[in-house]
Amino acid sequence: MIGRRSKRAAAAAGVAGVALAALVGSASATVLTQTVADGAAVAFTLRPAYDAGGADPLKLYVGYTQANVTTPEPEADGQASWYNLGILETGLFLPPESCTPEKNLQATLDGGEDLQTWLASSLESAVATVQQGQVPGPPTVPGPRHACTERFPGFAQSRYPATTTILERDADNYLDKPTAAQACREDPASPTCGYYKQFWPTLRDATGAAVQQGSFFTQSTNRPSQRSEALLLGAGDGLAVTIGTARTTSSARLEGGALIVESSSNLDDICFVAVAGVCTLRIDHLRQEARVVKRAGSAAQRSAGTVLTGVHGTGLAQDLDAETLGLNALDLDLGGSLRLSAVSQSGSCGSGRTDPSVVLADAGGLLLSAKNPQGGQGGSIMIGGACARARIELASLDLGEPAVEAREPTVPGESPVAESPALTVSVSPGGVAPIGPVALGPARTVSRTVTHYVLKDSLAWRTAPYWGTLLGLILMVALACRFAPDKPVVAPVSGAVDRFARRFLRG
Amino acid sequence: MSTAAGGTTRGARAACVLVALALLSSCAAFQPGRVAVDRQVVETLPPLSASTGPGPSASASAGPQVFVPGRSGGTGTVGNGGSASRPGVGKANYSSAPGVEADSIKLGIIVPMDGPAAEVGKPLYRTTQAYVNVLNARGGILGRKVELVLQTACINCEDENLLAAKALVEQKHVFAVVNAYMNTYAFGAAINYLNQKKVPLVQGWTGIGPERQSWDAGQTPWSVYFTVRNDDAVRIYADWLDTVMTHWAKAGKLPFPENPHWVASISLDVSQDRRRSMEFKKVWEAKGSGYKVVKQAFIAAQEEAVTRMDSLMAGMKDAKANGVLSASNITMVFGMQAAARQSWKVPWVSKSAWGRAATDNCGAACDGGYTDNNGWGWAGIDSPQMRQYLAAMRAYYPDGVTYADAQTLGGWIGMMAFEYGATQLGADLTRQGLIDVLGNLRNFDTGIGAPVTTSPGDHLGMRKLMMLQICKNSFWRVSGWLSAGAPVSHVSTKGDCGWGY
Repeated sequence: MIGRRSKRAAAAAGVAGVALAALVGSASATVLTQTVADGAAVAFTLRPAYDAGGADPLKLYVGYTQANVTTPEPEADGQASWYNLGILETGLFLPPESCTPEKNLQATLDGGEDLQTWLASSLESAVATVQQGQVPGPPTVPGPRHACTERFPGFAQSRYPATTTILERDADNYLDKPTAAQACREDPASPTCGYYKQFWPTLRDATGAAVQQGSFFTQSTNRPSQRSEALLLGAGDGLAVTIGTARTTSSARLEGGALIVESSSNLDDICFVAVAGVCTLRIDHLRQEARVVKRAGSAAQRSAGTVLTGVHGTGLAQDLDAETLGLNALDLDLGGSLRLSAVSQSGSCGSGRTDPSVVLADAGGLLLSAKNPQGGQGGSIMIGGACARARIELASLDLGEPAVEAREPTVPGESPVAESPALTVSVSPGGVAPIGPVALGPARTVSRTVTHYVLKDSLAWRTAPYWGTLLGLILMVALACRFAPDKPVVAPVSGAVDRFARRFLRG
Repeated sequence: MSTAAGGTTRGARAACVLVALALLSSCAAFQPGRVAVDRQVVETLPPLSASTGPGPSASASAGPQVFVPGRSGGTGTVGNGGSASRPGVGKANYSSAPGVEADSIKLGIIVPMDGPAAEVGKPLYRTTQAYVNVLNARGGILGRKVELVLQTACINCEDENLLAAKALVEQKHVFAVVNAYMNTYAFGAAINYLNQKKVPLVQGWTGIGPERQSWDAGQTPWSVYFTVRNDDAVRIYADWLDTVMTHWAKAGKLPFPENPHWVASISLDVSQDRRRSMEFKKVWEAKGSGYKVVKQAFIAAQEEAVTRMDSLMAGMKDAKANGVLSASNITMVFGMQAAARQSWKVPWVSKSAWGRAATDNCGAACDGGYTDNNGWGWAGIDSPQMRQYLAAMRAYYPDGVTYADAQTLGGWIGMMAFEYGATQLGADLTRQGLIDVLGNLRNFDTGIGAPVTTSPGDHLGMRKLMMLQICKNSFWRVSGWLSAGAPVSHVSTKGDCGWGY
């Protein structure tokens, strides 16, 4: 019997041990698993570029929208603007130690002029060079004057959570110029009127070649979500390509565990290489869409496509037919060494090659380029572009203490071997003597949270501590009387209970 | 007897069953749904005495201090132990610092997120955020979760940076500001304000405004930068340029072999860069009688980087310079493009061009250009800390792994600095205490960057750097750790795009 009891006890202890280990183990797990999402959408109307020999092309976008969301720490941001430059151009802006509003205004106007001059001169010279059958030289990266901020008018941005300078909703609208007229009617001497009178005509002249009118809107929410929209009325360089209207949208959001990222570019009335007022090639409508829907751990749905309607050619070096217009094979000679071709990727959302967890949809675009007799791409203008990039997954991070290795500290010495860039290399920590173990102090707890509970149920439950205690006492007495009625402590109580029972219960 | 014993046993069993039933029924009665939280009180525990606290002992001497985030106690000493003091330990100062609660620490960050500038601001922010995510998942700093509050400011807007700093301090009530260094050139007013308010600025790189003569870090008492000291860096640049030019001379590649030690320098006309150029001239010409800086160019306004660069390069070529020091990445990118147009091929060494601005925008024109890593190591370093960085970035910001550079590694080291200082102080976390800890490091090893040694008058910390070279839009590490005055070591000639050593 004792043996059986021992076995039972041992078995019970074993089960309890396993259960306890499981509990303890789960409580102190060192692997953190979180849903990590990262989505970006980009759409644009035009992107002039020059292949300078291996670098990314010059980053100048016209009619640009962008939307981003990330989580954990849910955030969303994006912009809609008539332009977007690259980081180097931004780095050129002067530190504004003595920036004044007047200086800023003047610099804004100067910057607009600079941009217009650059756009007009570089494109004109590039086209002229190409039409002569030669290869254009690399354009000078624009360095527009702008003393205090790189934000030209026609720029809206938003983000969630908002900051002091970037709010959750923003709009910038060229079309609200009547507001200026209204301000001047009400008070011709007001600073607002003065500002508009000086500002808008100059801006219109300065940006007229690239954008005639525009409306830009962005909004961020805590879902998180971002939506950016840009509408251009009249865009282009007036020579190689002009566009009647262009509407680009980008959005990204997290919805019910799904990351949805999409962008679109809708261009109407596109005219290529106008000669004596007649377009060499005219396209009534170009629509591009890119969309990715992805849930963590499941396959992504993605789509990307381009629709062309109403293609009219005049004076082309080759006839337009259905086969030519199959987008996969579109390669038109527009004369004078200019070519129009379809490209499968705009590249504005990355190549998708660097991280296999990224899902990319890229509608590509139409590329107007110089035919380079010596090979290489030379100058080009991409017309329309839409792409979306999404990554959402359950990321597991081992939070366990890193192993202490004998070769700490691992400041590398001189490695005799050649390296590849970035991550593909492991640098041997040569020349560093092995060191002893790391001595650690004990962990400290600096605070604790004490939680006080209350019963939120009916009166009966809230008074349970009182009647429960009473019932417990009665139970204890009953047990004592039943099993140890002869004990000196219990005997009087047992006798009294027995007498009570005989008199009132048993008769 | 046996019957009585059996009766007792049965009675005991019955009692046990009754008790168990009573317990079970009471457990069932007290379902969680019937219980509501009345109130939660966070109690701060008293500090430990200095003798039982974490970290190195005060009496220990000179071994390297190794900091591994997440390891028990956060830090340790190697060999005989480190020598960091633990200021403030033992003081009864619980949660009294602004931005510090019993269960949280609020940090601010200021980065440019405006349009194009977001391309440099976002990597730094996302890296800092990734660090905070991991830190909080580990339980925060000794139980206190870190809350990161973002403020944005245009990269060149002095007023916006000041506004952002004020918003963080006066509205968000942050304890400290971290990693604001992308706005270096427009951060002068903000840093003055933070100094005036005695708010720590902790980061991997300098965030000093242009109006300050910022060479000596002692002028920024409330800021700590884990980066290479300016004077050390200039001497290393000079040694590296000299070594490369000597190699070119031997190979017969210098355009003006009759003056093999003549060079030029170019910089933006801001105090940091001007000072760097002037110091370089001093160091270079002290090397010997044939060493001469034949031309020093200072770009006065941003448009001059475009409009004047060709004429400047032509002037340097006319002056028969065989090499160039560029005090910033901007002057390197535009300078090397202009130099290519002027058919003037010489070695270039630039300060702080380690980032996508150079590779993405310069293209083949910048192939062969040298720059430094600011003392922040290299993604290929095999250390527990670097593996932590890579794992966290893969989870939260994969682009930061692909482009491990000045924005990402520098931001990570900045956060390591903060975690180290805050962990050391524990319950007694104060602004002054943090600056005291981070301003009194001896041979502190992050496992990622160069060792850090600081003092109250020197908050820059590092004395070593690595040289990198641009080739085909990538950076290649071409040296081990270099120190001023030490022999120049060379790693690799592969990936130099034919520019040689």
